[in-house]
Amino acid sequence: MTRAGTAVVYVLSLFAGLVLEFVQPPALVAPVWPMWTAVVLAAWAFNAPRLPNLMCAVVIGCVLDVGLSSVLGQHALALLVTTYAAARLRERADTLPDWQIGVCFVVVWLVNAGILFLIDRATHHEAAPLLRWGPVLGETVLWPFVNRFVGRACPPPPRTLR
Amino acid sequence: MNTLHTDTHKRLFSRTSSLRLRFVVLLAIAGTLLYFDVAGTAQLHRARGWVAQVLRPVIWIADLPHVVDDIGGTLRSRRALLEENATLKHRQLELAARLQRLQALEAENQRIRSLLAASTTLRQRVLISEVLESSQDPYRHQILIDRGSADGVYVGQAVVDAWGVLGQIVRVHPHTAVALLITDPQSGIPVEVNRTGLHSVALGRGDGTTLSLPFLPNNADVHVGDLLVSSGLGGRFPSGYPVGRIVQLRHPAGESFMEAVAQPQAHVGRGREVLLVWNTEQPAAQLPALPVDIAPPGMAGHGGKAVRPTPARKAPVAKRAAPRSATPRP
Repeated sequence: MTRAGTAVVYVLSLFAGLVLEFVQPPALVAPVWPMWTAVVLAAWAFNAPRLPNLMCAVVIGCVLDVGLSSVLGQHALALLVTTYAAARLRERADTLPDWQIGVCFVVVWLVNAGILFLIDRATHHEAAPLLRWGPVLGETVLWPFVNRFVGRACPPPPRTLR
Repeated sequence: MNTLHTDTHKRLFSRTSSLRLRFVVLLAIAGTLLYFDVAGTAQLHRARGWVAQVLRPVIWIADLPHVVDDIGGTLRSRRALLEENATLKHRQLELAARLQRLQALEAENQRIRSLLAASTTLRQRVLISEVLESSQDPYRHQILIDRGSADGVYVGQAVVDAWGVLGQIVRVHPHTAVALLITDPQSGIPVEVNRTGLHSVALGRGDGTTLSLPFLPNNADVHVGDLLVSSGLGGRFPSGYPVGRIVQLRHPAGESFMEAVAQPQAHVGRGREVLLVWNTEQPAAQLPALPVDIAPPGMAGHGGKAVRPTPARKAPVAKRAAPRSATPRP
């Protein structure tokens, strides 16, 4: 895919992730409804670290904070850490098979949920903690599909002739 | 030809350090936002308003499945519509008959209230609003409605549906507002047991379906099935609206208080339309101090306190009429 094509897919995928955050899920899957923006941003950070993923993480996080009426900076912080962790994982886990990468990313989703959980605690928003950790399951299931989709949309790695 | 990836060559200045630098800078920005929002900076509140405006198309798109569902509903067969029309006509007749009875009761009530020199607030200003979105955040039971400060909506305003009290407004944007539902753990609403007049505070339990009335005396006259109505204390919620029905009484071993669990009367998380109520009953300034201070989320750091219920006290049945202003209100 060309660079322009990748840019278009990048913007559209982030927008789609943002929309899916606000979609009312069916009651059956609501407890495990994933944090779509986190999965999409992590996939882009993992496959194309040259893109402005960290900046997008903060901007989208702030938009989520307004939309979900949470403390401004809560989702921004969680998405930023998730995206950074995904970018660093690329350096270490790029050569691993897909299923092992998926296992590594379970930790990333747990960190994401943990940050949201801790900020909620710090700002006195108390509710059933299970509901905060449920999305980790959804994100784990969703990751391979999003990762494959983003991997196909990425430009091939640059090669040099010497 | 060298086919190695460029990343495999050792660089003088690694890209990782640049990534780390950007991360640290953005982390500082996010942390600063977090700090100032918890501190309640007014500029951030304005910025929230702007972002909420930008977000409206996104929420509209996210709401499209509902819109499509609504369109599907309007394309039902003619026969179904005719049947529905006939049913509604019957229902309308029935309600009209009931309304006549209610009008007579209302007039009688007004006469009695004027005799008692009490204020009357049977007619309240209301505004119908549509639910744009309900919060997907499991920690917040909130809804976003399509009315904002441009429509006169204010923070603390009561939100009801056709069945009972739904919540209160906690954040107002120019054309939208966020309402905290009564099932949110941050929510507390002053209630009274309709049968006995016992005053208490109904707190959200965070599970989305039930309310809790903690610290009731062990010998309180409360039964399963009792209706809870808003008491009007605190001046936020108008009095007399159904809040919930008691479904369970708990007597924790060793505790000197019991807890009642109630199910909200309002269809929490199900309706598409809500009613905003302007509480004209009594200005908050004239009211006695409320045992709880209901603070909107995120305001705890600047004046708002956490919900702190106190043991319930039994009020005399005629209590609400007596201490109020002697001058009748329109």
